[in-house]
Amino acid sequence: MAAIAAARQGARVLVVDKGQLGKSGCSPNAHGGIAAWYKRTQDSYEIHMHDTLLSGGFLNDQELVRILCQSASRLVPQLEQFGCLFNRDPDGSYSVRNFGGHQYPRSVFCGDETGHEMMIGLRREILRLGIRHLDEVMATRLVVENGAAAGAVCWDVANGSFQYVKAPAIVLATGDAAGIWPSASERQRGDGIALALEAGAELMDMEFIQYHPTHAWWPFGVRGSVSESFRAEGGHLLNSLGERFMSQYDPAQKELATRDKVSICIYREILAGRGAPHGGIYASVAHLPARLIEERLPVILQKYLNYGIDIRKGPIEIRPQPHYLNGGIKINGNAQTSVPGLYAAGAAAGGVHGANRLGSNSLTDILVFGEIAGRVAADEALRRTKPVPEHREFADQEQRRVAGLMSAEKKSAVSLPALRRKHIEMMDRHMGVLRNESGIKTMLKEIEDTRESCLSQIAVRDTSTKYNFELRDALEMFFRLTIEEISTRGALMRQESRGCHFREDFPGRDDENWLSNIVFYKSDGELRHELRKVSFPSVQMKQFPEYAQSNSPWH
Amino acid sequence: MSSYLQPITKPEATYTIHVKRFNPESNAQAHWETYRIPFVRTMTVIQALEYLWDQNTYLAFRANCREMTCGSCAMLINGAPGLACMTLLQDGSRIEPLANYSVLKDLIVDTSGIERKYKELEFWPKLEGATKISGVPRSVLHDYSHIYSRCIECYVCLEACPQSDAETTQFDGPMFMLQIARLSKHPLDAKNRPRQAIERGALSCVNCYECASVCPVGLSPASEIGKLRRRAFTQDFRNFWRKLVGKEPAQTP
Repeated sequence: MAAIAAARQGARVLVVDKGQLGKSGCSPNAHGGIAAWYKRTQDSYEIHMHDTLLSGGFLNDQELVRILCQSASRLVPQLEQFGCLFNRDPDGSYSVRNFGGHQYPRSVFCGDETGHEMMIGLRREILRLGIRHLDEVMATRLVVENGAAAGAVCWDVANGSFQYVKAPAIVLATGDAAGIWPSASERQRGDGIALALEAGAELMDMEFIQYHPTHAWWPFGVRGSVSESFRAEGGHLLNSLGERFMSQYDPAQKELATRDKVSICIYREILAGRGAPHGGIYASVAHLPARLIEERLPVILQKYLNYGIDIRKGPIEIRPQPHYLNGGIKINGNAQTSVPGLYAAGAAAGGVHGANRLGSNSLTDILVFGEIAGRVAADEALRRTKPVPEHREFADQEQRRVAGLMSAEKKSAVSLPALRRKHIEMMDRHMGVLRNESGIKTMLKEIEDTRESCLSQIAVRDTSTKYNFELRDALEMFFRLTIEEISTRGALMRQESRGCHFREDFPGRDDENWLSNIVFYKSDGELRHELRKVSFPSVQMKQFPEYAQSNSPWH
Repeated sequence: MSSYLQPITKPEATYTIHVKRFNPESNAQAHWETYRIPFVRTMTVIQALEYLWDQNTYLAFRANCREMTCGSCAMLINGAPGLACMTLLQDGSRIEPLANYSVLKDLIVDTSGIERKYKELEFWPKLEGATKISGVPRSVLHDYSHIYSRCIECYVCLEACPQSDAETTQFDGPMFMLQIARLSKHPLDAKNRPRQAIERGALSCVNCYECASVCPVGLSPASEIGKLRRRAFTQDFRNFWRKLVGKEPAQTP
């Protein structure tokens, strides 16, 4: 979306994609919807804002939330000009579906393939506009000159070459870092977030990792999230006794409580020994009419049929799995980071979702802030009169760094896949849904140990230049440690529970001390942090007395 | 490279699989290699490849979502095209890259020609006049949410179709026809898509339905081709009649 918006302004745009355009990242996997359409007369962008803030534990940047909710409905019809088509009611207006935590149904959708449909449209529009794109190319370093973004060094995975791309304005739309945890679609490895930190940008709310309550868990071969539309259409969560346990935890919302809450409730049921046989919990739509399932959930239906399971007839086994990192690069309402010329949008940016993201707010985020980032970045680039200098030497430096990783002397060093697996499992165990001080400290220790003992020894044994994915894993390992460290340090600092961050040793919400964002940045090569009090320019917490008076981590 | 694979703690059997490998820097030609995989029921081909990756085999393959949404992991599995993320692993499976394209490394093929064709075929709505959609027939909405938005452009049908060849323009092939059908139903598209389908070889389809039998998401491009052909004929007949008689035919023939 950023590339399209920038090209429309008349800027020369280059899209660098680590995978293949339209197929990479996790947007195509977003099934549910785009929270954008205030169809009910009593609904409005203000109520959408309230829902987003309540879900985010009021840690959200209210200015960003206001922009998100105000701009959303303008962009959906644009997607249809790119070739998308969303479901409609008989009167011709958009059909909307409900998601957990939204007071009213307001998510526009296309079957249960909304993200995919959106990506079809965006990809076609990029082709129509003739925007240049480099597929399977990974940015390994951002170059900042005189305090402003000047370009990036990119590694071509297909042929192993390094090139310097000069750019007076760079938009990071690189997704979040949920792949640091055992996420099913783990291409979100936080490259952009780590690059931004090195370039001097600030990161915020990095301790909040959202676990999606309903991830496919069994059979072994099934992967990925079972869309929230599964619950939105009336799906039940059942324990091994066949009870709808959510009615005990949240009698009003039941299964449609926010994701953070549902995930913890499922974990509690599992820990209490009421889980399903393979370590998950049951989810069922079997009580719904078969026709509705076929009409509204065709992808999930077919996915399970492939493994011999018919969701029209019986339950499936699911388990909460890492899904979305709520934090990211700190931006302002123009999608600008603290580094001039550097922009961030979508999941790579933080501040929009606070401590917990509402289902279907992510696609909205992509559209709204993608459009803003592209437009503002293009304006800035076009205003610039001085030519941007070429810096081939940075590409050479990166090439030498990689040659060091692949040097022959280090052949017997660390096994990368084993190291990565260990870190993923430890992040899940210690930095997952339930956290406590000793677990978090164990993780921090592991990160420090890896930095001290392993990082210098990381060796890439595959010596090929073309599609050397081991080298990609090695380069990602450096990014991974940065994200892990910041997330873990943030989690240790935040001595309360709020949204996705649940501390067993501090189970209550502490508004007195913790209505603050933890912001990390680098200064003189040192990682530093700051606590910044959240500001309340428009919506006050006291407008929601029930929430303000309770100390529950969730709405 | 690989996604996080749950630890295979209790394998139920050991399977043997054969993978066609090719590294352009060290091999003159492709060769088969045999591997042993700890098997768990319902294990998919992609999980077997991920397992191999974790064993430092440096096997190159494309995969992104692992849940049949991105269409990146199409390959030939026991001679038939399919998505590795949803094909169940069998003992003795033979895994090789798609055959229609040049191999870049191991299971990765060069599909850049496909994008060129997308541009050539103008796969976006040609806007003329209205830019806002008012009414949309129910059947079109149904087709979008059940057919068109579900095509993941994985190229599996292109591989199975006996009449199409990704590199020639005689018949673009099932996936392209389905995309043309998608646009033909889009309320804002003003281009004559049935005509475009005929120009791109829709008449070459022999209704063998191979595309439908291999489609990982259960679509039937052949049926869409049939509909496009009928619509093109109807248009042609109307034009012919208009020229001959000087007015519209009374009824759609």
